[in-house]
Amino acid sequence: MKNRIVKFSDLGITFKTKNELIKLSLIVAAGILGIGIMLYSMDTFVSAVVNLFIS
Amino acid sequence: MTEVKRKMKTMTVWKRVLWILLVMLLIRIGTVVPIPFVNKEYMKSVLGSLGGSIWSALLGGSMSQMSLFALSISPYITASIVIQMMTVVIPALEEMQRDGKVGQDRYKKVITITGIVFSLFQAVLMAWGLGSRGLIDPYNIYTVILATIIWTLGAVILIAVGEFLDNFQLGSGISMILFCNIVSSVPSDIAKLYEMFIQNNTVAYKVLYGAVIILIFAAAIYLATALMTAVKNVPVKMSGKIAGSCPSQDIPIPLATCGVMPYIFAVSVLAIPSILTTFIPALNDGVLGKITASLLSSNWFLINHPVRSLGAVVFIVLTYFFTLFYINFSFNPKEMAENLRRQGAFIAGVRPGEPTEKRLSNIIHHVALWGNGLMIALVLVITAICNISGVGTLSLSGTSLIIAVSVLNDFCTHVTGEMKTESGSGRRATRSVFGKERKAV
Repeated sequence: MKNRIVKFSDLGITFKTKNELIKLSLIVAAGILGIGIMLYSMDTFVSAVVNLFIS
Repeated sequence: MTEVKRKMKTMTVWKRVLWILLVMLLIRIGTVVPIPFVNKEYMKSVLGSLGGSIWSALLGGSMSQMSLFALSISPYITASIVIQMMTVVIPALEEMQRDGKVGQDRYKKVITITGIVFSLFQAVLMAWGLGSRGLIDPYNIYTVILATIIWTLGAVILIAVGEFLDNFQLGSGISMILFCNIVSSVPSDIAKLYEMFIQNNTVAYKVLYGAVIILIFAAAIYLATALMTAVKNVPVKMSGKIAGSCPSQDIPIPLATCGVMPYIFAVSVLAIPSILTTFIPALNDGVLGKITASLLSSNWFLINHPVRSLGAVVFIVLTYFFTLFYINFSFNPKEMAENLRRQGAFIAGVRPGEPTEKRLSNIIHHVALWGNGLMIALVLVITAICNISGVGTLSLSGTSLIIAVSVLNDFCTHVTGEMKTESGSGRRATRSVFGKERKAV
């Protein structure tokens, strides 16, 4: 079999349905925001405690 | 130790999720707590443009903080790259990779030990190389040795934490640490965008800019999720008696065949010249300085400096190189074809043996290269939008966004699979089509 450039449409890639993708994207966005806020709060809290000790 | 691992695996999925979140919080403590005699202002000034690069986002700002975890997991990532490269020249390493679970555990151990050695090397380089220039104050033998020990230990602890997180079987531990580093800066990025586009504008512009920002990020997350979850199904038919009970099956090959590994490796390689300039400031001058600047993603697609966008070409070449490298060493079409033959299965219209092997190899290569091309396109479009709008590098721009999306998608798949197992209604979703789990870093 010859190695040739294959068009993307010829690959037959299956994507998830629009609804599934929207649901997954929402979970991902919520995860990024939620965990981000949680970790940032931790950073701020620890920095404040450290500054308190230093000063 | 085995008992602890067994307990971790048998915990309910929500308990494991809570444990992972707790570990993430502890990681942030180590990333924020400073070392008293280390001057972090000096490091911030020395890091310069690297401070705003994707590499810095992957490290969660630990380098500029000069905290306990100053090195973060960069030594482990470097070790992964080096060991992957060494598989070309050391056949024993290649054998380990192909030698089932036992071999892969040994391979992982080699990376871990190399990572620890690199941690020590990097800590020594920082403490002795930059200490005398103002990083360590007071600069004496005791503070230098203490800084070396603390930074090495910090990196070793993070490597151990990565392995600890692996035991929960909800995704790769090292990827989770990278995710933790990336998303910890999301709130400060939101604040930055608010100050730039919303704070001092009229209500109409506030609504408009707010909507555009949300739309861009929603579209980026949607597209990244679509690419990460897309698969090519290779139809497989069963022959003889088996055909009656199980007439046909599919081998799903993910569009993101190599996961996010090529991007992490490419970003790491692109950061090397900038890291070197912190030790050798002369590299910032002349042609070398221009090359170093062009390798930083924050300098790509700038209208005033079009030549610097050449760094994006290097990024594209590197990701293709690492993609090809990864699939050549991680997937064995010969073994896959042999497994199919042994199970009495065949790809429709293709004879068993060599033709099947060739067909599988072609499919994997085409899917991986197309997947990489689409992923790069997404990364570069996001980078261009951020740079042209003057925002610069955010924690979720380009490469880091697809890493974060990939880790969360992987996590969701594992959690869903484990929940199905717990309720007894399904099989484990963690099992891969290739007979082993797809590797992250």
